Amino acid sequence: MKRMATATAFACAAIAAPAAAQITTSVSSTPVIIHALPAEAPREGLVERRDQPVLRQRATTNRAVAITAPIATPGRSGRQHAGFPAGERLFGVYEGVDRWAYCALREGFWADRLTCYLDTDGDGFLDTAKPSGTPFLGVPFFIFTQDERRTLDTPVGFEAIPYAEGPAIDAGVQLTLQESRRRRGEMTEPRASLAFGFYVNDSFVPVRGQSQAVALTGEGPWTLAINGAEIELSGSPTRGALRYRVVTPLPSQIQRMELTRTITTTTTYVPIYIQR
Amino acid sequence: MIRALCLLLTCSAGPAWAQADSVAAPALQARPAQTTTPIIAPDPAAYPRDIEHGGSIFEFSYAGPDRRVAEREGQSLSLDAYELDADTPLFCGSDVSGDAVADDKRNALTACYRDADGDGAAELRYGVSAAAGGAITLNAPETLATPLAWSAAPARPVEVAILYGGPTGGFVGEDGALRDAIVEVIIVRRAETGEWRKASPAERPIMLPCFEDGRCFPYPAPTGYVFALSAPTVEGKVHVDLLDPLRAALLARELQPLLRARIERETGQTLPPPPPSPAT
Repeated sequence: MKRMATATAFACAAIAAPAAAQITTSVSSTPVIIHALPAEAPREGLVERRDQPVLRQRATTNRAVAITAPIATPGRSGRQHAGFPAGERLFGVYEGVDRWAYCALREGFWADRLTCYLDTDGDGFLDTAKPSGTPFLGVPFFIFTQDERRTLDTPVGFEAIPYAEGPAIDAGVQLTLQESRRRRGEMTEPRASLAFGFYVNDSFVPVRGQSQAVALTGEGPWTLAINGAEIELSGSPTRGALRYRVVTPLPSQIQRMELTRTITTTTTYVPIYIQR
Repeated sequence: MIRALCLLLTCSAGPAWAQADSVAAPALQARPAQTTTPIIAPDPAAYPRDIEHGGSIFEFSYAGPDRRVAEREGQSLSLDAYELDADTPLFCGSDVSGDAVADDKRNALTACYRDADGDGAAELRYGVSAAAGGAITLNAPETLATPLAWSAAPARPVEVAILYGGPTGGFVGEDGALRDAIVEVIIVRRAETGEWRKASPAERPIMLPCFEDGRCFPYPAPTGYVFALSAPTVEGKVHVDLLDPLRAALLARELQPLLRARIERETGQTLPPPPPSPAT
């Protein structure tokens, strides 16, 4: 349902576009750490579909805390009355140039939404909430900070925990096969490409500019590498018997990604249709 | 990551992708009015030291440019001198206020004013559409229905800092140390609220490459000193030292081959050979 609502919103934006102005905003994401692949994780398999996840590794940000008391909802909004229980783990993101905010994802009816908390006076208690909307592209660590702030009725203590134990998502690489096809009267070579990105509800969100492709010609094996990971392909792509082997998983690494968001503004009233 | 590496080897203007966000070709560009007041240097005895993300690498202050103060719609404006061209002085500052205004806009430059006829009141207002590298891009001027009366005010000290912005990329060792990393430094100004703020949300950080052994490429600071970062960690710690120009030059010479090798490794291209050293 959430995906449908999102699709509807995109559709409406597209309809409104011809009469609209566009504002493009770029921010750098907070650093995301890709953790090493556990030794027991599978490292080879058959390529069974066009888009095949071949590596899935844990990702966190580089700071995490746990709250020592429950957080009640600021303003007692009906939508977010649940708050967070004591012990909830929050991931750290940069706030401004020299401070941190600590965020968690709230499950919502239409879409999951982020709420971030700040210790504005540095006394060791989170005192301000900053609702931050839905995650950009669905990746919880990708936040376009919003400006609204609400003071918490009761400041809440927090303690640092190892960043690796903070809230985690999955990052990894996906293999995409492109079969041989006729183009301008000639058959093209079958190709394979490897892209780095994040998994959101089992959908892959590629990071732009982080991919590599190879033509599957000759006998193979063929090797693809991205961000320190190396994948070997072997077999026959035309007979549907291609295998992959993880030669090297993604080494533990840190990345800040450039997030570019285009907002379409218009003075024309655009009705929002929600599919049911 | 490659972008940051290449920045260190390209011309000062930088390639197109290094420019500000997707803004139309600048019609009007203004720069802060030049000040000749000597810079107040920091204390070299405060180095070396360890800092964390957001920590100060280097701070200095100087007397700011000419200033005008004015009242507009019940709001006090403090405007600093800028130059559109040699003959067109402007006075620029933030003219937005209220709780609904984003934090990062409240202290950013939002408008410039110009007193074209020299009668002590500005008749023209230029909206600021973008800012990068100290320069600002202005929209076409609008004529104010009521000229903005202003008066000269004493120049304020400008406090500037170079802060550590943390790692942007790199591989993480088991001890949390980063290798082949890129780290960021950010140039900020002290806002009236006392906080460090970027001059504009569009202001880009400076990216510095760090190598296998944890040493990062040195970066010049004002006052003739150069700062050198080393041993960045995944959690945002870094070691900072202040070098005199000779030590900095020696460090840069030592790291230059590592930088070339890394660019060649990451781009898969062979760079042209460096020019021969002067005869010794």
